[in-house]
Amino acid sequence: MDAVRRTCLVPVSVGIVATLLLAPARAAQPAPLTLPSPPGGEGRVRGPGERDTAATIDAALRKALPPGTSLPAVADDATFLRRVTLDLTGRLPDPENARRFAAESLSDKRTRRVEELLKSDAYAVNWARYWRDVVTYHTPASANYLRWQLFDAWWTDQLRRNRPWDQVVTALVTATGVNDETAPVNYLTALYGNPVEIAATTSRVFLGVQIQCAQCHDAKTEPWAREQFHEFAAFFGRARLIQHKDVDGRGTPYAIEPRAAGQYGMPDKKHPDRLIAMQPRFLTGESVAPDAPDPERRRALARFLTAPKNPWFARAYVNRIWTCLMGWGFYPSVNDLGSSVTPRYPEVLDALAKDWIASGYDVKWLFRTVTLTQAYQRQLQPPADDRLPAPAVCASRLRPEQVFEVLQKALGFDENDKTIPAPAASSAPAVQRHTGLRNMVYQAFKADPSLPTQEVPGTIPQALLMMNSALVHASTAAKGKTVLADLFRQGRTDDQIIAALYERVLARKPTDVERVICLRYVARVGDRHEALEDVLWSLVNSTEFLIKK
Amino acid sequence: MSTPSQPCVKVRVDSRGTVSRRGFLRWATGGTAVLAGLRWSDCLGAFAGELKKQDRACILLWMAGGPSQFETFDPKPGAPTQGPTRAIATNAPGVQIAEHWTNLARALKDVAVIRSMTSKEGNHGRATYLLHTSYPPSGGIVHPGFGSTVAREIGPADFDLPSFVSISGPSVGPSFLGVRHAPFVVTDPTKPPDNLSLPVPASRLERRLGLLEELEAPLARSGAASLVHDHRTLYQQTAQMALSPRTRAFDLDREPEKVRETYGRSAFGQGCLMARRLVEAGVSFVEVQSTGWDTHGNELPSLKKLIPPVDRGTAVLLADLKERGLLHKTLVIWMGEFGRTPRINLTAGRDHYPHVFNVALAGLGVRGGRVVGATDKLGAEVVERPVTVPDLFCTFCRALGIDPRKENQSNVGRPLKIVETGAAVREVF
Repeated sequence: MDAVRRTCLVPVSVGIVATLLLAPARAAQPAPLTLPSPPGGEGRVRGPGERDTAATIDAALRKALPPGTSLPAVADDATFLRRVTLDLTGRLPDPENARRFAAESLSDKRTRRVEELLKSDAYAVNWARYWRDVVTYHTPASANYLRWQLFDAWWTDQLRRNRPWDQVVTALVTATGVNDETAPVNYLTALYGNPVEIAATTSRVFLGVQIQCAQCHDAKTEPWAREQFHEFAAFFGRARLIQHKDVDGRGTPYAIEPRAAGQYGMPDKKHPDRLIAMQPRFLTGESVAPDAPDPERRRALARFLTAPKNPWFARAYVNRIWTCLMGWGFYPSVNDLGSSVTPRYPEVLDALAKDWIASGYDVKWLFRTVTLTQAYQRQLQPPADDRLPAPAVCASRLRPEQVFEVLQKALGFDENDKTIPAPAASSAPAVQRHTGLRNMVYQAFKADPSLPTQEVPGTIPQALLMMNSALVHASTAAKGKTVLADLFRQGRTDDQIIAALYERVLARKPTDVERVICLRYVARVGDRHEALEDVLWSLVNSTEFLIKK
Repeated sequence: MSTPSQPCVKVRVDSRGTVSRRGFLRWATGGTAVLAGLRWSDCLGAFAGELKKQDRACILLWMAGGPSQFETFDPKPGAPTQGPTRAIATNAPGVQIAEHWTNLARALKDVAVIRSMTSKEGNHGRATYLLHTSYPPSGGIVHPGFGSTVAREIGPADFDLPSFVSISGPSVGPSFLGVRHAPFVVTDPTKPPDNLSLPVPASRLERRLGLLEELEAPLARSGAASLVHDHRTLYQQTAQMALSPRTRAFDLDREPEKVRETYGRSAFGQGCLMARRLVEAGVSFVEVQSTGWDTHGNELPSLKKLIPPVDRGTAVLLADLKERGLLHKTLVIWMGEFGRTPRINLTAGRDHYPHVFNVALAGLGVRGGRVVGATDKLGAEVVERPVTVPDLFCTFCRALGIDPRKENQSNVGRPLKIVETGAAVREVF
């Protein structure tokens, strides 16, 4: 780390120079990625293989660092397996599986494990939950505006089918219909069909462009004019939110339907009651005619959004997924690829984005590529603060449903056990996401998935849940139908039980130091049942249990 | 001031009467070697040489959605913008407020009203942020909420409840001030907070925490030091709280029935009662939220339901604080994120209007019965003594004895003032 610290200025200034060189006429806009022209016109080009791109990325990361910088060592199998299983499926590897993995001697076993995980249903479920929370986290919408289960299932299906990302985004912004029938339209109804909210969210999430600041005034730190925000919003100006009548107990679902005429208007600054009609125009300058009907407007927007020459679309997605997997991003915030922010390792980001576009926006391709890099497979590094991050993973907190999954796996309770009380805060988001125990954990741990992990503080209610809840108390007991009671029934020794608890809770063997600490603790307490309950409690309440490392 | 190399040793001398526990001390000091060299900003509170300003508190009554100034503190009887809501007299000579606020009208000689608030943020999220931080949302910097600032500035370092409690809503978080100053959210004031009671004897919890501390040390050395540190700070704070007899402040069942009735059996009324109990127990900042003030349509029936519990809760809170000798130590703020349009829209509601809105203040040196600023006949423009949001926050700071220009290290590596601009509104003191 010292080497990196000493020389941090060099790579940062390289980044600035690169940005300046690439800067187009408009400063807000990064240069489009130069792409190979598709052979034979129609059809998608198959991009480079994941292995090749992973090697390119590792080489580019090394090149950006001062010569002679020492790189962290490769993480051991147990660390890699827990990391990649959590990242791809949101779950813990089970101990049996982990032992088999450690025993395997094939040189490509990590690659093959990634492939297995990407084929699992847990992968689709995990990333569906992520995206559903990304696009709906801030809306206070009630269940009529957001048919949450349907939307959730839709996301899972997109991931399972590995639908290309441009198609997923197109489906969301062009959706039309009633939200209890047409799943993706929930993206729009959850934002009340409000062009301003939809434009702000679409720009932030899918482009990493914070144009909403220009809603009220010309942006100060970005060269966005107020008109540009409203021209963007105008793409949604003929999409109308309609409430449907309650038929057959459906509640009153909402629909997005085309409006025949009318224009989206920007409030006049001097006379806020007066609206100025806006022509739909994209950030890169493309527009549609003022009289274009709704479907045409939104289809055009989808084309502009997902066009390979759009400088933000691929970079925003790649930066986001990289941030999720590595614990740090090329840009510090997944929400902001703005001109005032200098990316770290810009040439790495661009290489990855370029190859990802060439893959046809293949979602699994990117997961494969990043997890195959040496950078991903190295030992944990501390966060870099202002310095250039080391090419290795930084620890990050688990997301709310990942917390539930690891808790359930570690403690082996039944998700639907009605005998365990599950008090949960009933605050925003307004739509009840889950019920019972999962809801309790989700509500306590919920956080905006677009925030950097350093900015998501642990809270006292979370600690109280882990420390005192009936759920943790009952399932860490040495009596009853619990993991610990089973181990006692099998007549295991203290040492064996400690090892089994570590494997189950933290997906690794205890170190010698940890074994000694635990054994000494058992000896000091005297009552081995009570003492081993305390050991299990401590593991579940540890930092390590709640982070990916 | 401390230096980064000093270990963070919590000195557990409780100035407010709780006996410190030996087990806790053992646990808290057992791992100091691990803490040495970790991020130290969170530890400063315990080291700060200056005496923390105690015996001051702040209660924010937050009207989420943006209450109409016409139907609260700035009625315009006879104006075409007023609508059917009448104005009523108060016990402050010459000051009228909107009807339905009958209890508050009788308490107005303790309340100063600012009628000339003005801002530019007309979006709920942005304006809520502004009215909680004094800063508009802007790019990379996330500003701490004022509750967290107050908790940090006047909350005693050795206090065993959170210094910032938010009732019936989440408030705005601590950002770079750290998890120690995060709001503790009580979702329902009529129920005790979840998981607060211990399932094992206190001595066993302390023993467990000791084991946890020992087991965490290796991880702290392997690249997750700041997460381990945050986790430990959080557990220390949480355990301290769970073990504190002061948690009784959250239990409204300990209040006489009659008192609970007086505050009104609404979530807001009971929230105000809990706020009083918490301030009595030594909590520095309590926010009590009331929702539903975003009256775009059909506002009169909505307001008829919204106002009575808030009118009653607020008036009873002021009277109760006064009777207990707490009002002169407690700043009470009533506000929302913006005002509402002079124009009544086609659905008989009013839309967002940051251009003019009202704030009411009481307690802690505030001279009651005063009105600051004025609007024109239509209530559409400020015509006298405009007050900006930074001015307002300087006013809060002045009452609470906080230096608004004090700088804290922010998340983007540059120091940030508690309030950047503005000046206190002297007329309210």
